Amino acid sequence: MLKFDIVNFVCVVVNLLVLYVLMKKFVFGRVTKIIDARQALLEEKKASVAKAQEEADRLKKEYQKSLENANETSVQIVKEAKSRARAEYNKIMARAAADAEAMKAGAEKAIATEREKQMDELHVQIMDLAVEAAGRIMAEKSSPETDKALYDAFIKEAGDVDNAKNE
Amino acid sequence: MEAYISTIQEELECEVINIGGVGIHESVIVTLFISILLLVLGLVLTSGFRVENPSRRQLAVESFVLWLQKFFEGPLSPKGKRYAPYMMTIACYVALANIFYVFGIKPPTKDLTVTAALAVMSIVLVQMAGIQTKGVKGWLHSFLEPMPAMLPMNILELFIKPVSLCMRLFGNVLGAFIIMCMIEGLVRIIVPVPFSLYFDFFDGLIQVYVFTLLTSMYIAEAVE
Repeated sequence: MLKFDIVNFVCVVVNLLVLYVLMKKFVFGRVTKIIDARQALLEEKKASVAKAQEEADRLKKEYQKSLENANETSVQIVKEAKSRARAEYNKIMARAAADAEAMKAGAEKAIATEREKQMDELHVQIMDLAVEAAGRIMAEKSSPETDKALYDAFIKEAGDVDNAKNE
Repeated sequence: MEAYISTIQEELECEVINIGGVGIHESVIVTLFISILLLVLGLVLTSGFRVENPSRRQLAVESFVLWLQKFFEGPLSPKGKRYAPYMMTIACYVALANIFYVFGIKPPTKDLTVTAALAVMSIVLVQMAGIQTKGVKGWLHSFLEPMPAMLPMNILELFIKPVSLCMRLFGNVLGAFIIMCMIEGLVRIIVPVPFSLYFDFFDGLIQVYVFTLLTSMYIAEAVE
């Protein structure tokens, strides 16, 4: 019990040292090795997951960017189309207005020519009448009655011409 | 009463087995048995370990080993981390030795020779750790710290530490053993159970804790 014995002491020490070496190598070493290996595997998996996540993020960003670009492009296209349409519209309207103007001018000119022609005809008729009247005056004896009659006749004829023209 | 006392005295006697003219203590045989038991248990429990899809047994063993490792790496400080396997082995060994009385075998740690061996190994390890980290010069210089006047104290400590470790473990286990013997001498059934739980398991494991924690702290101090 309270005896100290050097032989037994050495026995216990040797025994313990051997136990320590074997335990460290075969029991704790084995467990630690497995745990380390699992840790390494986990780290590897974590890294690969992080990589995949990064890739996915990158793709998403790219996609968003392209989507934004597409939006912008479509807006641009619509704008361009609108402006082109407006220009086309303006051009067509301007042309139509010009055409209408030209037609109107043409019509007015035609009307004026027609009128001039009629006026000319009228003048000719009046001249004829005047000549005829002058002839009659020359032929017949002139008196206040005849003068008056002549005058009336002239007026009547002239009025007829005027009326006809106005009609 | 006479018979009672003589039974206890008989129980306290260390049996000595004569092998080849050398008297081997019963406790040495028991520690050898404990060592073999520990190794076999360790080998059986850690066989067939896999990195992936570990079995429940593997997970249990792993978490136990990790717990033990963390338990010692704390007081050992990062510098003394590599001595954790030794502390783990000693902890398992002393724990088994202290609770061996439950199986009807006298605890080997009630033999002074065994606790002395443990304590001397501890102090040798502490000094080796100091020499390994600081070199011989640094180790010798550490005896002059924190001031040269502390030299005699530091040298005394070299002997006081193992003696206190040895005697604490020995005294506690012996005391528990004597009390258990006395109780069992009076009543043999049921009554010893709660006492056994306290003296064998609780006190036994507390002594393991104290012994290993103190050794860890000495190592941490030596490698600082």
